[in-house]
Amino acid sequence: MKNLPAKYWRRNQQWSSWIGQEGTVVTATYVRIPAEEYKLQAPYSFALVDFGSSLGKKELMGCGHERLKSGDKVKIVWRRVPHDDQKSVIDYRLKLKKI
Amino acid sequence: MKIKIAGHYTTKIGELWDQGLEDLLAEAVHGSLKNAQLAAEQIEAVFVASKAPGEFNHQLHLNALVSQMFVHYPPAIRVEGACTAGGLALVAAEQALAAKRYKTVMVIGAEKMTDQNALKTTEILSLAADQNQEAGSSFPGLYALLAQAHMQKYGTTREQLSAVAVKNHHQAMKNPQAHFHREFTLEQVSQSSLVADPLRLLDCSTISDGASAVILSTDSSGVEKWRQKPQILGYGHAQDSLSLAGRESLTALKATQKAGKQAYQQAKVKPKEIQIAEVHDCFTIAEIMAIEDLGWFEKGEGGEATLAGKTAEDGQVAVNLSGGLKAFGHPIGTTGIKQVAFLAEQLEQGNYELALAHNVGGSGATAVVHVLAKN
Repeated sequence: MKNLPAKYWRRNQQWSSWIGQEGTVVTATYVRIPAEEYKLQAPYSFALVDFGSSLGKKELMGCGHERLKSGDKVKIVWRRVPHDDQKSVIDYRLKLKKI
Repeated sequence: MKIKIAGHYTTKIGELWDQGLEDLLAEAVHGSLKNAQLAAEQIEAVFVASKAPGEFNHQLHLNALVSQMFVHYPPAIRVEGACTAGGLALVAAEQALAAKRYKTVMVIGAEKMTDQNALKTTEILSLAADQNQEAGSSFPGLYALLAQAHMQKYGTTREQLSAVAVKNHHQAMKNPQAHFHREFTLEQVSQSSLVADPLRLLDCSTISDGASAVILSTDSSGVEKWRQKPQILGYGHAQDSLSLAGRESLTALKATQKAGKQAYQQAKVKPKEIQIAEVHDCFTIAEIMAIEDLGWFEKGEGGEATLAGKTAEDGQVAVNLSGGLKAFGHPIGTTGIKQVAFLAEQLEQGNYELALAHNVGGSGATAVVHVLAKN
């Protein structure tokens, strides 16, 4: 999936409310063979995180090559997804960082 | 109403450089007609399954492409539902037969995957995940999350995951249509390269080309001709949250449990009566979860049962005798149909009385289960 500008804009409407939220990793993997879109970041963590009863669960990539595992305390940060495509929207996303 | 599987045909599954999407479809059309001893004009409608012919092959409007393979251009519909495209096409056909719109229809699935490189294919496959909620995931990555959860809750081991791959590759040795005819040891599977921890290369199903077709009929005039043909006793179709974050459980696929229950009820059979099954082993953990969710083993006991040989050909239930998605192959839209075609052949040969096919879409958001019986 490429980040078409309109799609990127629609997707990021709620992101500001998530930045800084803290949660606990329920389950995590370390993706070594990614989809083409994420090849420059691999390997990276991908985790399902519980942010509590009011926010619920969310699935996110980890920052850089940091390894996450079940039980880790994490917070949501704003980080770039590296691409070799110079024409599309610069791709910032919500990601997980270990506290 | 009795739905007979009047004919079936599956192409060789594999990396078929010399065959395009249309070649595979044509082979399955003609092969299934020959198997059913039917003329093309006797097919009243066609249900076509394919996950991503646009992305893989730059070919959309697949229903028309298939219809023009018949002299009379029967009405044709394409069904898409990720890896359950085949199972859903079967359901659509069965509903059309139940509504008495048609008496004899063809259900055909095809996918030509190997013209793209592995990273591009991984990207196309990941489109079946929730693009807003699961960005950054891959299919091995999503099933890896399920595997981690299953291992954490039940103590499922690396060796038990490997046992699924070893069994399915062993069983594929007898299937001439299978993509892979190569056996592996537990150690080889356990030491293959990591894709998404804990899943390794040999935990993953194949990227394959292939097509399969079945002809379903309620036509009573065919009763005598198709007396020895198997029938569909029941089917179920259920859904769950597309994203894993929305699931009640990460150690069971609720859609599989619900679809299985529906199929068993309609067929009036109990899980333990099933003798042979093709289950959706897109990853080794998926087979372990399936044999639990379909009621053959208690939750958490699927891995141990597999390692103990209870799902082998001579076990409690013969699971993925074809080699499954793991070794027979997983040309996405074809899979749900080739499962039924393979089981139909097994039932015709007289070795089994009751069979089950289990087809899953994505990481478990869609599931279709069929119960089949010998004539």
